[in-house]
Amino acid sequence: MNPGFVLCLFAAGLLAGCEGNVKRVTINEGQLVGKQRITQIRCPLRLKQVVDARSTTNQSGGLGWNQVVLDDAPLMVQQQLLKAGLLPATAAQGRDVVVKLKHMYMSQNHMTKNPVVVYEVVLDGGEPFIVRAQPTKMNWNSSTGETLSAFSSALRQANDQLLAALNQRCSAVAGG
Amino acid sequence: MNVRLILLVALLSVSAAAPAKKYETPMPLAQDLQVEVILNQQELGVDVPATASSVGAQFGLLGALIGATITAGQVANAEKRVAEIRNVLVDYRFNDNFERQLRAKLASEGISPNPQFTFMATPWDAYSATKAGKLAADGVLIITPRYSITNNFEVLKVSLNARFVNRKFKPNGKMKEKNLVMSWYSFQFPLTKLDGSYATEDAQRWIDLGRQEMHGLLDQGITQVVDMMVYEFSAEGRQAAKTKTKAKAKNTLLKGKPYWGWSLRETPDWIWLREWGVLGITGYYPVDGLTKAAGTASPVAASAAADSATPATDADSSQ
Repeated sequence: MNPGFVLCLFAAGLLAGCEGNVKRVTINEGQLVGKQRITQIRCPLRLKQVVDARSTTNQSGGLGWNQVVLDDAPLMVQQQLLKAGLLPATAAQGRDVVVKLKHMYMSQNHMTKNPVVVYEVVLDGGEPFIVRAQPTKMNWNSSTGETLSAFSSALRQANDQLLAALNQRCSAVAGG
Repeated sequence: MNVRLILLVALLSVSAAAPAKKYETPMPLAQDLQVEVILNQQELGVDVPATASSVGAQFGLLGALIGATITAGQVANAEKRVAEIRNVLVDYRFNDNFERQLRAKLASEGISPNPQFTFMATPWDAYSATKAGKLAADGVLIITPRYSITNNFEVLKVSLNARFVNRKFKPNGKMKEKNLVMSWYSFQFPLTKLDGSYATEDAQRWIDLGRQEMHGLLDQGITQVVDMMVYEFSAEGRQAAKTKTKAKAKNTLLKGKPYWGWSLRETPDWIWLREWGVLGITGYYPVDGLTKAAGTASPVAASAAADSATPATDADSSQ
């Protein structure tokens, strides 16, 4: 998003011959579009904690007139990761995974929409690593549906990448 | 902006050029100046020129669509390349640092001895607040900062747009803003050009600078653009703006490279210029980008998703 967008936000209303209204799109787990893919985990992994380490509040950018507000982002990520294949924190055994939410937002760049999800992940107290999903797609209509769909897609991609990275670390341990 | 809007723009050929009118900026702008700061970024932006869209729009609807598609492709490439640089900056708190600098420096002779700040987390918050009629006033200073890198990865920059406006609300509730002053302040870090170094290689050079160096550059950029704005409204800055057209623009050499314009400040490392056709001030601080900063973690390849899951350069760092 650039400063021109601030002006565009106003210009958009003028061009359409009407004044726009900002629509707050609150996203929680129930609103996500599509299903989280289940990944076969190669070693038991417990989701110990999802920490909210974002610098912002739940204000998470937006698309057109849609302002994205995340409702309890840590809970949303936790629920999705448990669906994807991680074990709950209370599981009897498994390696501990801590996920820090660094960034979760929707931005625009010209006529594209850019949802962004960034985690910092620590496995068993080891070296942290970054997982970043930011699928850039054409913005057709700035609709609420497009906003939800794009954000959901970024979240799923981040989770898929996270599990792939964890699986690789499982293999590294198993291999020696 | 969306595709529908682009097509609409292509259909409209309305010129909205406003006649220039002499406006005498008050000194200071106001005693208890209302200052609205619109924060609109969570991470480093990437600037992609809209050349393809603009050219395409001149050839009707089909041209506009083709132009939009080309620009979207450029954006997708740029966003992919900038990801690793964003990972280096994952803990950088641009908005917090900007707010700190602004609060420390804006109280000044030319702007206001007692500025009243309102920080808005997003443009949507700003729009909703003004539309609700809460912030109608004469003489409001609206500041929008930005930090970004060009899509050829040659220039990192911090910029600031300042608008001094009169804001009114019509009886039907519609908001009307009149720009009294509008300026851009930009502090740029051009990367020294190397033979055979293109966007991918240049992006890597920024990554190789490392977290500390990149944070330092952005901090310097914030300091500089706030200083520029304060200078612009100071007695010295106002006088310089009035007299600049009497002198001729010229090349100023900085680290062996010429920069064209009216020089305002010069040091061995950076310069401030007024440039032709730019309302405001532009600064340049060339960056070598040849040496790797000490203590920077190297990317570790051991990842299932090598493109997207890379080690953090510094966990839990803070500003």
